[in-house]
Amino acid sequence: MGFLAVFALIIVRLFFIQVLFPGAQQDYLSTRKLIPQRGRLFDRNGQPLVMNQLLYRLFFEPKLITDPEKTTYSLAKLLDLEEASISSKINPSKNWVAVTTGVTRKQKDEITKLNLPGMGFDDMWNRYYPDASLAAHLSGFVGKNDEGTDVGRSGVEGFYNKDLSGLPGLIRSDVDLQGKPIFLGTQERIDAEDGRDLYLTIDKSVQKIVKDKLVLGMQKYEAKEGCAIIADPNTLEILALSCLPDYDPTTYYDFTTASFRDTAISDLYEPGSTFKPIVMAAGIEKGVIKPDTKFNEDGPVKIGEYTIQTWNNQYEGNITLTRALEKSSNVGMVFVGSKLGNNNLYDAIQMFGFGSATGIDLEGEVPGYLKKKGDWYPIDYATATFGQGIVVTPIQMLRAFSAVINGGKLMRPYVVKELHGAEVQKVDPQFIKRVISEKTSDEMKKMLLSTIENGETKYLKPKGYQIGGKTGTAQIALQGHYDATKTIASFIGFSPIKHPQFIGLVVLKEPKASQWGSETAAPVFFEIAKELIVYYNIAPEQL
Amino acid sequence: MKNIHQDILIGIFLLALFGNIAVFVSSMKVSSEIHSFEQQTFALKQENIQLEKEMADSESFASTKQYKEKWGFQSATKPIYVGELQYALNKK
Repeated sequence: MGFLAVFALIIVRLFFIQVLFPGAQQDYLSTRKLIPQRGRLFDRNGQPLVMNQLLYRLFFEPKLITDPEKTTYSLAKLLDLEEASISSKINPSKNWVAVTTGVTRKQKDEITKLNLPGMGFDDMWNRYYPDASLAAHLSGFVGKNDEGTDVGRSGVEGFYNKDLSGLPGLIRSDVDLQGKPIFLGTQERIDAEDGRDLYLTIDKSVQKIVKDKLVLGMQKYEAKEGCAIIADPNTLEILALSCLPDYDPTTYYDFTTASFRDTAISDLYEPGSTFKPIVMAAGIEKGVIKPDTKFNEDGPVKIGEYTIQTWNNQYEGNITLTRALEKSSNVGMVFVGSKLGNNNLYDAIQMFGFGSATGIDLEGEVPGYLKKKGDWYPIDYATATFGQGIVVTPIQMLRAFSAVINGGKLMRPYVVKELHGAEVQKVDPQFIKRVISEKTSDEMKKMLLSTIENGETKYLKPKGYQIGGKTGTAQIALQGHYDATKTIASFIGFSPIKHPQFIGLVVLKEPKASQWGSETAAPVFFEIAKELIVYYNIAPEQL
Repeated sequence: MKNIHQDILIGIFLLALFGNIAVFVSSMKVSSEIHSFEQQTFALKQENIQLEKEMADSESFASTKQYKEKWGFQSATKPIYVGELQYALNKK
């Protein structure tokens, strides 16, 4: 009889749970989101650039705290926080209060050992940068969106956010009062898919060399901003990219938005004389000039109401175009422009990719600006031949110059060479179009070698090594006119000559020690080049 | 006859009842093990990430710089053959 009574009681209870109050079972069903691990960034040799780390958020449940004084004292000591800031969080009227974030595992273990009631920890995944801001603009940083979830901002983090984020998983399970899963209950699990690891084209050692030399150069020449890019001219793999001032991606929130701009891809500047080889290559390719074509540099040139003169207002008379490039003659370039013709000049500028984005896989690239053909005045065509009155991004300049020396191939610059997920996806160099012939490219390399051998920067070059390149000094346009005291100094160069292994561009904004590219940007480039020659074990080409 | 049927029924019922309890207890045990394994897996994952971080730290330039200062290296070793071509070309 008693047995039947107990049995009936169970049936009645089950009737209550399953029929009258079915919602109550939801209390036992736990749904948890499984957070995927964000993909990591490595350099081309597998050296870590950006990793993940697990930090913790310490929180209080003030109502459960039994000894506020001991809690305050112990935490202040372990976390190096002010006692007042901790005690203010122990407010018994609240159920939950966040105390601090960024608690390390060691600190967490020490706090847990204290066995104090009323506190707990939430996991917080963070990015970790072993070399701090070594490649800040390249890597970008991970911020939060409006919903408070992690999102990659700028650089690789921004461009590859979807690949890096991965896919969250879900776990639905019936749990007992202790939160342990009930094996016979609901058990659904969709595993999270971790983000893909990215292997960059960047070489961490080259990046270090470039950044260190740029920092020193900016200090020495008192430049306002600086940017240096090193790439393989044949594939346009970016080996290093550093623009200063930069920021610390760990504490990105302490910096202004302006700091996040990667000037290599987002800022426009007038390239000045570094643009001359582009126009010269277009002239040779069209067959209207040759490196030994002579012209008479007998004085300034008049274009309408404007007068164009050489940078030092000195003229050498009957000289070749190779000599014109060596001495960076604006008058010589106006001659090349006149031979090329306005239409061909405009088409060449467009063909080398100016006015359109390079498609580099970094967030924040701007396409630059190229006025419509109909809006160009004769003076615009004349000044464009020596890189004034035209604006480019450093990455556009590097791409166009690479095409001049790599046999004429315009390539897409890129920074990610492999994506490692469930399978490995390789990124191949992307050929866009041929802009000049190999023959023209060879002739240009000889002219650019001669520019270094016989130009103003010949004393900077390491003896025995062949380096080609061109300096540039462009005045900065302010309120419709150029300010002669403010310049953008730049240098673009490559080595070796026969089979270039690296190309480098250095741009310094408003250097105060000297306004000239040959005295500021060029020395920075040669300092970098000397290190790269050793790093790549490049043999000397001459004695 | 009636008693035999009743005894068999009670026997089956008790068998089912204890069987059910046994299954329930073993499922609790399995659940507990699953929970414990999940916690261990998570702890191992954390350990892995921590080790990865320490490895990255030890390979970083920042740590190399610290070693450099600790061991008293004053400046980078300059390769002699840049600017000293006779060494590079083996012509003294």
